[in-house]
Amino acid sequence: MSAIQTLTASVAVLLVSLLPSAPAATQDIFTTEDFRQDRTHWTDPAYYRNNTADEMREMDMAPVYGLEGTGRVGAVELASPYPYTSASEHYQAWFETAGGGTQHTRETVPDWRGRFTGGDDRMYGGPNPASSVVTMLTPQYQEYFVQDMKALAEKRSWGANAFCFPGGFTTSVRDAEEFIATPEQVWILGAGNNRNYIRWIYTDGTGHTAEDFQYPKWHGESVGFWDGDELVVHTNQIRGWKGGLTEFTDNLETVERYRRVGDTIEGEITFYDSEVFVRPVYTELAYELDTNTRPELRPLYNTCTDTNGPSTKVYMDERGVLNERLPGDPLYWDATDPRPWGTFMNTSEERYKKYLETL
Amino acid sequence: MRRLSGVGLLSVVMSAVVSGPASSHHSHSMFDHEQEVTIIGTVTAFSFRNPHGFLFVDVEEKNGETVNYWIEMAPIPRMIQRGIGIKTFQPGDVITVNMYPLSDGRPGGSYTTIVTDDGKTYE
Repeated sequence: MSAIQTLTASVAVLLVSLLPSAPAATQDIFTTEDFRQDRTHWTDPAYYRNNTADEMREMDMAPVYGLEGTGRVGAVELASPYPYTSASEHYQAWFETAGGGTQHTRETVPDWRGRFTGGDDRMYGGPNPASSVVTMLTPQYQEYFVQDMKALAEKRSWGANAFCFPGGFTTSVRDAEEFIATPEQVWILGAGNNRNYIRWIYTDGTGHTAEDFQYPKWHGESVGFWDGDELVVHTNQIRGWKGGLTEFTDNLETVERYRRVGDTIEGEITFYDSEVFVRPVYTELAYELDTNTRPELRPLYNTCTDTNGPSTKVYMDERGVLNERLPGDPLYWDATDPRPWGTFMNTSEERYKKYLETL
Repeated sequence: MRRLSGVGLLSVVMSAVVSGPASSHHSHSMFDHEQEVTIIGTVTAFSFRNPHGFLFVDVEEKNGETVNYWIEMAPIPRMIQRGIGIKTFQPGDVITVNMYPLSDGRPGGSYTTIVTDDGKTYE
Protein backbone atom coordinates (compact mmCIF):
# COMPACT_ATOMS: atom_id res chain seq x y z
CA MET A 1 0.00 0.00 0.00
CA SER A 2 1.45 3.36 -1.03
CA ALA A 3 1.79 6.27 1.41
CA ILE A 4 -1.19 7.99 -0.23
CA GLN A 5 -3.34 4.85 0.03
CA THR A 6 -2.30 4.45 3.69
CA LEU A 7 -3.20 8.06 4.40
CA THR A 8 -6.55 7.66 2.60
CA ALA A 9 -7.34 4.51 4.54
CA SER A 10 -6.40 6.17 7.83
CA VAL A 11 -8.63 9.13 7.08
CA ALA A 12 -11.45 6.75 6.19
CA VAL A 13 -11.01 4.86 9.47
CA LEU A 14 -10.99 8.14 11.38
CA LEU A 15 -14.17 9.31 9.65
CA VAL A 16 -15.95 6.01 10.29
CA SER A 17 -14.98 6.14 13.97
CA LEU A 18 -16.62 9.56 14.25
CA LEU A 19 -19.92 8.38 12.80
CA PRO A 20 -22.73 6.98 15.01
CA SER A 21 -22.48 3.20 15.31
CA ALA A 22 -23.96 1.49 12.28
CA PRO A 23 -27.09 -0.63 12.76
CA ALA A 24 -26.46 -4.32 13.38
CA ALA A 25 -29.36 -5.25 11.05
CA THR A 26 -29.24 -4.41 7.36
CA GLN A 27 -32.69 -2.93 7.87
CA ASP A 28 -34.37 -1.43 10.87
CA ILE A 29 -37.75 -0.30 12.09
CA PHE A 30 -37.64 2.68 9.73
CA THR A 31 -36.73 0.75 6.60
CA THR A 32 -38.18 -2.72 7.05
CA GLU A 33 -41.13 -3.65 4.88
CA ASP A 34 -42.30 -6.38 7.23
CA PHE A 35 -41.29 -5.97 10.86
CA ARG A 36 -42.72 -9.41 11.65
CA GLN A 37 -39.82 -10.98 9.73
CA ASP A 38 -37.30 -9.19 11.96
CA ARG A 39 -38.15 -10.85 15.29
CA THR A 40 -34.52 -11.77 15.97
CA HIS A 41 -33.65 -8.05 15.85
CA TRP A 42 -36.46 -6.74 18.07
CA THR A 43 -34.20 -6.72 21.16
CA ASP A 44 -31.35 -4.94 19.34
CA PRO A 45 -31.16 -1.19 20.20
CA ALA A 46 -29.79 -0.51 16.72
CA TYR A 47 -33.06 -1.81 15.23
CA TYR A 48 -34.68 1.34 16.62
CA ARG A 49 -31.58 3.49 15.89
CA ASN A 50 -31.13 3.69 19.67
CA ASN A 51 -34.39 5.60 20.05
CA THR A 52 -36.20 5.29 23.34
CA ALA A 53 -39.88 4.38 23.25
CA ASP A 54 -40.74 8.03 23.97
CA GLU A 55 -38.46 9.24 21.17
CA MET A 56 -40.29 6.88 18.85
CA ARG A 57 -43.58 8.33 20.07
CA GLU A 58 -42.34 11.81 19.23
CA MET A 59 -40.95 10.80 15.82
CA ASP A 60 -43.83 12.55 14.07
CA MET A 61 -42.29 15.84 15.27
CA ALA A 62 -38.66 15.00 14.54
CA PRO A 63 -37.09 17.44 12.10
CA VAL A 64 -35.30 14.60 10.36
CA TYR A 65 -36.98 11.29 9.71
CA GLY A 66 -35.37 8.35 11.44
CA LEU A 67 -33.19 10.47 13.68
CA GLU A 68 -30.69 8.59 15.85
CA GLY A 69 -31.93 8.46 19.43
CA THR A 70 -30.40 8.76 22.88
CA GLY A 71 -31.38 5.40 24.37
CA ARG A 72 -28.86 3.76 26.70
CA VAL A 73 -29.12 0.09 27.50
CA GLY A 74 -29.38 -0.40 31.25
CA ALA A 75 -30.08 3.27 31.96
CA VAL A 76 -32.97 2.24 34.17
CA GLU A 77 -33.88 -1.21 35.44
CA LEU A 78 -37.44 -1.96 34.35
CA ALA A 79 -37.88 -5.21 36.28
CA SER A 80 -39.26 -5.19 39.80
CA PRO A 81 -36.66 -5.55 42.57
CA TYR A 82 -39.20 -7.39 44.74
CA PRO A 83 -39.56 -11.16 45.09
CA TYR A 84 -43.35 -11.12 44.81
CA THR A 85 -45.19 -12.72 41.90
CA SER A 86 -48.57 -11.10 42.44
CA ALA A 87 -49.88 -7.74 43.58
CA SER A 88 -51.88 -9.37 46.38
CA GLU A 89 -48.78 -11.10 47.73
CA HIS A 90 -46.82 -7.85 47.50
CA TYR A 91 -49.48 -5.75 49.22
CA GLN A 92 -50.09 -8.31 51.95
CA ALA A 93 -46.37 -8.59 52.69
CA TRP A 94 -46.09 -4.82 53.14
CA PHE A 95 -49.28 -4.77 55.21
CA GLU A 96 -47.81 -7.33 57.61
CA THR A 97 -44.49 -5.51 57.76
CA ALA A 98 -46.43 -2.36 58.69
CA GLY A 99 -48.08 -4.23 61.56
CA GLY A 100 -51.52 -3.79 60.01
CA GLY A 101 -50.95 -0.14 59.15
CA THR A 102 -51.05 3.19 60.96
CA GLN A 103 -54.46 4.53 62.05
CA HIS A 104 -54.26 8.26 61.46
CA THR A 105 -56.55 10.93 62.83
CA ARG A 106 -57.41 14.25 61.22
CA GLU A 107 -54.56 15.75 63.22
CA THR A 108 -51.94 13.18 62.27
CA VAL A 109 -52.80 12.34 58.64
CA PRO A 110 -49.93 13.58 56.42
CA ASP A 111 -50.34 16.97 54.78
CA TRP A 112 -49.96 16.52 51.05
CA ARG A 113 -51.71 19.72 50.06
CA GLY A 114 -50.61 21.52 46.94
CA ARG A 115 -50.62 21.00 43.22
CA PHE A 116 -47.87 18.80 41.88
CA THR A 117 -46.44 17.98 38.49
CA GLY A 118 -44.22 15.20 37.27
CA GLY A 119 -45.05 11.53 37.52
CA ASP A 120 -42.28 9.83 35.69
CA ASP A 121 -41.31 9.14 32.12
CA ARG A 122 -39.73 5.85 33.10
CA MET A 123 -43.20 4.34 33.26
CA TYR A 124 -43.13 4.58 29.48
CA GLY A 125 -39.67 3.06 29.10
CA GLY A 126 -37.51 5.99 30.23
CA PRO A 127 -34.02 6.51 28.84
CA ASN A 128 -33.63 2.86 27.82
CA PRO A 129 -33.81 2.12 24.11
CA ALA A 130 -37.12 0.71 22.86
CA SER A 131 -35.44 -2.71 22.61
CA SER A 132 -35.29 -2.85 26.43
CA VAL A 133 -39.08 -2.76 26.58
CA VAL A 134 -39.26 -5.76 24.25
CA THR A 135 -37.18 -7.82 26.67
CA MET A 136 -39.88 -7.34 29.34
CA LEU A 137 -42.74 -8.62 27.20
CA THR A 138 -44.27 -11.97 26.36
CA PRO A 139 -44.04 -12.96 22.66
CA GLN A 140 -47.53 -11.78 21.68
CA TYR A 141 -47.04 -8.41 23.37
CA GLN A 142 -43.59 -8.07 21.84
CA GLU A 143 -45.30 -8.21 18.46
CA TYR A 144 -47.92 -5.69 19.54
CA PHE A 145 -45.20 -3.35 20.83
CA VAL A 146 -43.05 -3.55 17.70
CA GLN A 147 -46.17 -3.06 15.56
CA ASP A 148 -46.70 0.13 17.54
CA MET A 149 -43.07 1.19 17.04
CA LYS A 150 -43.35 0.53 13.30
CA ALA A 151 -46.50 2.62 13.14
CA LEU A 152 -44.75 5.43 15.00
CA ALA A 153 -41.74 5.15 12.69
CA GLU A 154 -44.13 5.81 9.81
CA LYS A 155 -45.98 8.57 11.71
CA ARG A 156 -49.14 6.43 11.93
CA SER A 157 -49.62 7.00 15.62
CA TRP A 158 -52.72 6.15 17.61
CA GLY A 159 -53.50 8.22 20.68
CA ALA A 160 -56.34 7.79 23.13
CA ASN A 161 -56.78 11.55 23.29
CA ALA A 162 -57.05 11.76 19.49
CA PHE A 163 -60.34 9.91 19.75
CA CYS A 164 -61.40 11.46 23.06
CA PHE A 165 -60.83 8.21 24.93
CA PRO A 166 -59.78 8.29 28.56
CA GLY A 167 -56.07 7.99 29.15
CA GLY A 168 -56.61 4.95 31.34
CA PHE A 169 -54.95 3.85 34.54
CA THR A 170 -51.30 4.56 33.75
CA THR A 171 -52.13 8.10 32.67
CA SER A 172 -54.08 8.69 35.87
CA VAL A 173 -50.94 7.71 37.80
CA ARG A 174 -48.48 9.67 35.70
CA ASP A 175 -50.63 12.82 35.53
CA ALA A 176 -51.63 12.94 39.21
CA GLU A 177 -51.58 16.51 40.50
CA GLU A 178 -53.35 16.70 43.84
CA PHE A 179 -53.25 14.25 46.74
CA ILE A 180 -56.02 14.93 49.23
CA ALA A 181 -55.58 12.82 52.34
CA THR A 182 -58.09 12.16 55.08
CA PRO A 183 -57.93 9.30 57.59
CA GLU A 184 -60.56 7.29 55.66
CA GLN A 185 -59.75 8.10 52.05
CA VAL A 186 -57.18 9.61 49.78
CA TRP A 187 -58.27 11.31 46.56
CA ILE A 188 -55.82 11.73 43.73
CA LEU A 189 -56.88 14.30 41.17
CA GLY A 190 -55.48 15.46 37.87
CA ALA A 191 -56.52 17.84 35.12
CA GLY A 192 -55.15 17.40 31.64
CA ASN A 193 -56.01 19.63 28.73
CA ASN A 194 -58.56 17.18 27.40
CA ARG A 195 -59.62 15.08 30.38
CA ASN A 196 -59.74 14.92 34.15
CA TYR A 197 -58.58 12.19 36.49
CA ILE A 198 -59.78 11.04 39.83
CA ARG A 199 -58.80 8.05 41.92
CA TRP A 200 -60.39 7.10 45.20
CA ILE A 201 -58.14 5.17 47.60
CA TYR A 202 -60.03 3.64 50.50
CA THR A 203 -57.89 3.54 53.64
CA ASP A 204 -60.81 2.82 55.97
CA GLY A 205 -60.21 -0.94 56.04
CA THR A 206 -63.27 -1.81 53.93
CA GLY A 207 -61.16 -3.51 51.28
CA HIS A 208 -62.01 -4.32 47.69
CA THR A 209 -65.46 -4.97 46.24
CA ALA A 210 -66.57 -8.59 46.59
CA GLU A 211 -65.37 -10.67 43.67
CA ASP A 212 -68.89 -11.24 42.31
CA PHE A 213 -69.25 -7.52 41.71
CA GLN A 214 -65.79 -6.77 40.43
CA TYR A 215 -65.33 -5.50 36.87
CA PRO A 216 -62.70 -3.53 34.97
CA LYS A 217 -62.72 0.20 35.60
CA TRP A 218 -60.81 2.97 33.86
CA HIS A 219 -58.84 3.86 36.98
CA GLY A 220 -59.32 0.54 38.73
CA GLU A 221 -60.35 0.20 42.35
CA SER A 222 -57.82 1.19 44.98
CA VAL A 223 -57.52 0.33 48.64
CA GLY A 224 -54.64 1.26 50.88
CA PHE A 225 -53.13 1.71 54.30
CA TRP A 226 -50.75 4.10 55.97
CA ASP A 227 -47.36 2.83 57.04
CA GLY A 228 -46.36 5.76 59.23
CA ASP A 229 -46.38 8.70 56.81
CA GLU A 230 -46.22 6.51 53.72
CA LEU A 231 -49.27 5.45 51.75
CA VAL A 232 -49.40 1.93 50.31
CA VAL A 233 -51.99 1.21 47.62
CA HIS A 234 -53.29 -1.92 45.91
CA THR A 235 -55.27 -1.42 42.72
CA ASN A 236 -57.19 -4.11 40.87
CA GLN A 237 -60.11 -4.21 38.43
CA ILE A 238 -58.12 -2.06 36.02
CA ARG A 239 -59.57 -1.81 32.57
CA GLY A 240 -57.05 -3.06 30.02
CA TRP A 241 -55.76 -0.23 27.89
CA LYS A 242 -52.70 1.24 26.22
CA GLY A 243 -50.17 3.02 28.37
CA GLY A 244 -47.04 2.54 30.43
CA LEU A 245 -44.42 0.38 28.74
CA THR A 246 -46.90 -0.75 26.14
CA GLU A 247 -50.41 -1.94 26.87
CA PHE A 248 -51.98 -4.04 29.59
CA THR A 249 -54.94 -6.33 30.06
CA ASP A 250 -57.87 -6.44 32.46
CA ASN A 251 -55.60 -8.65 34.62
CA LEU A 252 -53.29 -5.78 35.56
CA GLU A 253 -52.90 -5.14 39.27
CA THR A 254 -50.49 -2.70 40.86
CA VAL A 255 -48.93 -1.85 44.18
CA GLU A 256 -47.89 1.75 44.85
CA ARG A 257 -46.12 3.45 47.72
CA TYR A 258 -45.97 7.24 48.29
CA ARG A 259 -44.46 9.64 50.79
CA ARG A 260 -43.90 13.38 50.89
CA VAL A 261 -40.34 14.60 51.21
CA GLY A 262 -40.26 18.38 51.34
CA ASP A 263 -41.83 19.68 48.16
CA THR A 264 -41.81 16.29 46.45
CA ILE A 265 -44.24 13.41 46.55
CA GLU A 266 -41.97 10.43 46.00
CA GLY A 267 -43.48 7.18 44.90
CA GLU A 268 -43.07 3.85 43.21
CA ILE A 269 -45.36 1.49 41.35
CA THR A 270 -45.06 -2.20 40.50
CA PHE A 271 -47.13 -3.63 37.66
CA TYR A 272 -48.34 -7.23 37.67
CA ASP A 273 -49.81 -8.55 34.41
CA SER A 274 -48.40 -11.96 33.54
CA GLU A 275 -50.13 -12.03 30.16
CA VAL A 276 -48.05 -9.03 29.10
CA PHE A 277 -44.87 -8.97 31.22
CA VAL A 278 -42.37 -11.78 31.63
CA ARG A 279 -41.71 -10.40 35.11
CA PRO A 280 -43.28 -7.58 37.13
CA VAL A 281 -42.39 -4.07 36.00
CA TYR A 282 -41.29 -1.35 38.39
CA THR A 283 -40.79 2.37 38.17
CA GLU A 284 -40.17 5.20 40.58
CA LEU A 285 -42.36 8.28 40.60
CA ALA A 286 -41.71 11.87 41.62
CA TYR A 287 -44.16 14.77 41.69
CA GLU A 288 -42.77 18.23 42.36
CA LEU A 289 -44.79 20.94 44.07
CA ASP A 290 -45.94 23.46 41.52
CA THR A 291 -45.10 26.92 42.81
CA ASN A 292 -46.73 28.62 39.82
CA THR A 293 -50.01 29.21 41.60
CA ARG A 294 -51.41 32.01 39.44
CA PRO A 295 -55.22 31.94 39.53
CA GLU A 296 -55.40 31.80 35.73
CA LEU A 297 -53.54 28.46 35.86
CA ARG A 298 -55.87 26.71 38.30
CA PRO A 299 -57.04 23.23 37.29
CA LEU A 300 -60.28 23.07 35.38
CA TYR A 301 -62.69 20.57 33.97
CA ASN A 302 -61.88 19.69 30.36
CA THR A 303 -63.45 17.48 27.77
CA CYS A 304 -61.74 16.50 24.56
CA THR A 305 -65.06 16.57 22.73
CA ASP A 306 -65.25 20.32 23.21
CA THR A 307 -63.10 20.77 20.13
CA ASN A 308 -62.91 17.25 18.71
CA GLY A 309 -66.64 16.90 18.53
CA PRO A 310 -69.20 14.41 19.81
CA SER A 311 -69.54 10.71 19.12
CA THR A 312 -70.41 9.42 15.66
CA LYS A 313 -72.38 6.59 17.19
CA VAL A 314 -75.25 8.78 18.30
CA TYR A 315 -76.58 11.03 15.58
CA MET A 316 -79.62 12.83 14.26
CA ASP A 317 -81.35 10.73 11.61
CA GLU A 318 -83.44 11.80 8.61
CA ARG A 319 -86.49 12.14 10.82
CA GLY A 320 -84.74 14.75 12.97
CA VAL A 321 -84.58 12.54 16.07
CA LEU A 322 -81.62 11.05 17.91
CA ASN A 323 -80.67 7.56 16.85
CA GLU A 324 -77.79 5.12 17.35
CA ARG A 325 -75.69 3.34 14.82
CA LEU A 326 -75.62 -0.47 14.99
CA PRO A 327 -73.01 -3.06 13.95
CA GLY A 328 -72.64 -2.89 10.20
CA ASP A 329 -73.62 0.77 9.92
CA PRO A 330 -70.96 3.12 8.57
CA LEU A 331 -69.32 5.06 11.44
CA TYR A 332 -70.49 2.44 13.96
CA TRP A 333 -68.21 2.41 17.00
CA ASP A 334 -67.57 -1.06 18.45
CA ALA A 335 -67.41 -0.59 22.21
CA THR A 336 -66.57 -4.28 22.71
CA ASP A 337 -63.22 -4.01 20.90
CA PRO A 338 -60.65 -4.56 23.71
CA ARG A 339 -57.79 -3.18 21.62
CA PRO A 340 -59.05 -0.32 19.43
CA TRP A 341 -55.44 0.76 18.87
CA GLY A 342 -54.71 -2.69 17.47
CA THR A 343 -57.68 -2.42 15.09
CA PHE A 344 -56.45 1.04 14.08
CA MET A 345 -52.90 -0.16 13.44
CA ASN A 346 -53.95 -3.22 11.44
CA THR A 347 -56.11 -1.05 9.17
CA SER A 348 -53.43 1.64 9.09
CA GLU A 349 -50.81 -0.89 7.92
CA GLU A 350 -52.97 -1.95 4.98
CA ARG A 351 -53.81 1.60 3.95
CA TYR A 352 -50.23 2.77 4.29
CA LYS A 353 -48.95 -0.04 2.06
CA LYS A 354 -51.50 0.92 -0.60
CA TYR A 355 -50.61 4.59 -0.17
CA LEU A 356 -46.91 3.84 -0.73
CA GLU A 357 -47.78 2.06 -3.99
CA THR A 358 -49.27 5.29 -5.29
CA LEU A 359 -46.05 7.26 -4.75
CA MET B 1 -34.19 10.63 3.55
CA ARG B 2 -32.11 13.56 4.71
CA ARG B 3 -29.32 12.84 7.16
CA LEU B 4 -27.45 15.10 9.50
CA SER B 5 -23.74 14.55 10.02
CA GLY B 6 -22.01 14.39 13.36
CA VAL B 7 -23.17 12.80 16.58
CA GLY B 8 -23.06 16.10 18.47
CA LEU B 9 -25.49 17.83 16.13
CA LEU B 10 -27.84 14.85 16.26
CA SER B 11 -27.87 14.98 20.05
CA VAL B 12 -28.67 18.68 20.09
CA VAL B 13 -31.48 18.31 17.59
CA MET B 14 -32.98 15.33 19.42
CA SER B 15 -32.87 17.05 22.79
CA ALA B 16 -34.71 20.00 21.31
CA VAL B 17 -37.49 17.75 20.05
CA VAL B 18 -38.09 15.48 23.03
CA SER B 19 -39.32 17.71 25.82
CA GLY B 20 -41.57 15.75 28.13
CA PRO B 21 -43.81 12.77 28.61
CA ALA B 22 -45.19 11.32 25.45
CA SER B 23 -48.78 10.27 24.66
CA SER B 24 -50.27 13.62 25.72
CA HIS B 25 -50.98 14.81 22.20
CA HIS B 26 -53.26 13.31 19.67
CA SER B 27 -50.62 13.19 16.94
CA HIS B 28 -48.32 15.51 15.09
CA SER B 29 -48.18 13.43 11.94
CA MET B 30 -50.71 15.65 10.16
CA PHE B 31 -48.10 18.44 10.14
CA ASP B 32 -44.92 18.59 8.10
CA HIS B 33 -42.19 19.23 10.68
CA GLU B 34 -39.46 19.32 8.06
CA GLN B 35 -40.40 22.79 6.90
CA GLU B 36 -41.78 26.02 8.30
CA VAL B 37 -43.93 28.37 6.27
CA THR B 38 -45.01 31.94 6.91
CA ILE B 39 -48.39 33.47 6.20
CA ILE B 40 -49.57 37.03 6.72
CA GLY B 41 -53.26 37.64 7.08
CA THR B 42 -56.23 38.94 8.98
CA VAL B 43 -57.74 37.17 11.96
CA THR B 44 -61.34 36.09 11.39
CA ALA B 45 -61.85 34.10 14.60
CA PHE B 46 -59.97 32.85 17.67
CA SER B 47 -61.29 29.83 19.54
CA PHE B 48 -59.83 29.81 23.08
CA ARG B 49 -60.58 26.23 24.10
CA ASN B 50 -59.13 22.96 25.32
CA PRO B 51 -57.67 20.58 24.23
CA HIS B 52 -56.48 23.06 21.57
CA GLY B 53 -57.19 26.62 20.69
CA PHE B 54 -57.69 27.46 17.02
CA LEU B 55 -56.97 30.63 15.09
CA PHE B 56 -58.59 31.34 11.73
CA VAL B 57 -56.81 33.72 9.39
CA ASP B 58 -57.80 35.11 5.98
CA VAL B 59 -54.80 35.15 3.66
CA GLU B 60 -54.71 36.73 0.22
CA GLU B 61 -52.98 34.24 -2.04
CA LYS B 62 -50.79 35.14 -5.00
CA ASN B 63 -53.69 34.63 -7.39
CA GLY B 64 -55.75 37.21 -5.50
CA GLU B 65 -58.02 34.64 -3.93
CA THR B 66 -58.65 34.88 -0.17
CA VAL B 67 -58.21 31.61 1.65
CA ASN B 68 -59.09 31.02 5.29
CA TYR B 69 -56.26 29.25 7.12
CA TRP B 70 -56.83 27.01 10.16
CA ILE B 71 -54.04 27.33 12.75
CA GLU B 72 -53.76 24.89 15.64
CA MET B 73 -52.76 26.58 18.88
CA ALA B 74 -51.60 25.16 22.22
CA PRO B 75 -53.82 24.04 25.14
CA ILE B 76 -55.19 26.86 27.30
CA PRO B 77 -52.65 26.60 30.17
CA ARG B 78 -49.76 26.70 27.75
CA MET B 79 -51.22 29.65 25.85
CA ILE B 80 -51.67 31.53 29.14
CA GLN B 81 -48.09 30.78 30.15
CA ARG B 82 -46.99 32.28 26.85
CA GLY B 83 -49.03 35.40 27.41
CA ILE B 84 -51.90 34.51 25.10
CA GLY B 85 -55.37 35.19 26.50
CA ILE B 86 -58.83 35.00 25.06
CA LYS B 87 -58.60 38.60 23.84
CA THR B 88 -55.08 38.47 22.41
CA PHE B 89 -56.19 37.93 18.82
CA GLN B 90 -59.24 39.83 17.65
CA PRO B 91 -61.04 39.68 14.29
CA GLY B 92 -59.45 42.22 12.03
CA ASP B 93 -55.96 41.93 13.55
CA VAL B 94 -53.19 41.57 10.98
CA ILE B 95 -50.71 38.90 12.04
CA THR B 96 -47.74 36.94 10.74
CA VAL B 97 -47.87 33.24 11.49
CA ASN B 98 -44.92 30.88 11.25
CA MET B 99 -46.10 27.30 11.21
CA TYR B 100 -45.53 23.69 10.33
CA PRO B 101 -48.01 23.28 7.48
CA LEU B 102 -50.55 20.49 7.13
CA SER B 103 -48.80 17.71 5.27
CA ASP B 104 -51.77 17.06 2.98
CA GLY B 105 -51.60 20.56 1.50
CA ARG B 106 -54.78 21.99 2.98
CA PRO B 107 -54.53 25.59 4.20
CA GLY B 108 -53.46 25.34 7.81
CA GLY B 109 -50.81 24.25 10.23
CA SER B 110 -49.44 24.12 13.74
CA TYR B 111 -48.04 27.49 14.76
CA THR B 112 -44.51 28.05 16.00
CA THR B 113 -44.64 31.84 16.40
CA ILE B 114 -47.19 34.57 15.81
CA VAL B 115 -46.19 38.19 15.36
CA THR B 116 -48.80 40.89 15.74
CA ASP B 117 -48.89 44.16 13.84
CA ASP B 118 -47.34 46.02 16.77
CA GLY B 119 -44.31 43.72 16.65
CA LYS B 120 -45.08 41.49 19.61
CA THR B 121 -44.07 37.84 19.19
CA TYR B 122 -45.93 34.98 20.78
CA GLU B 123 -44.37 31.54 20.94
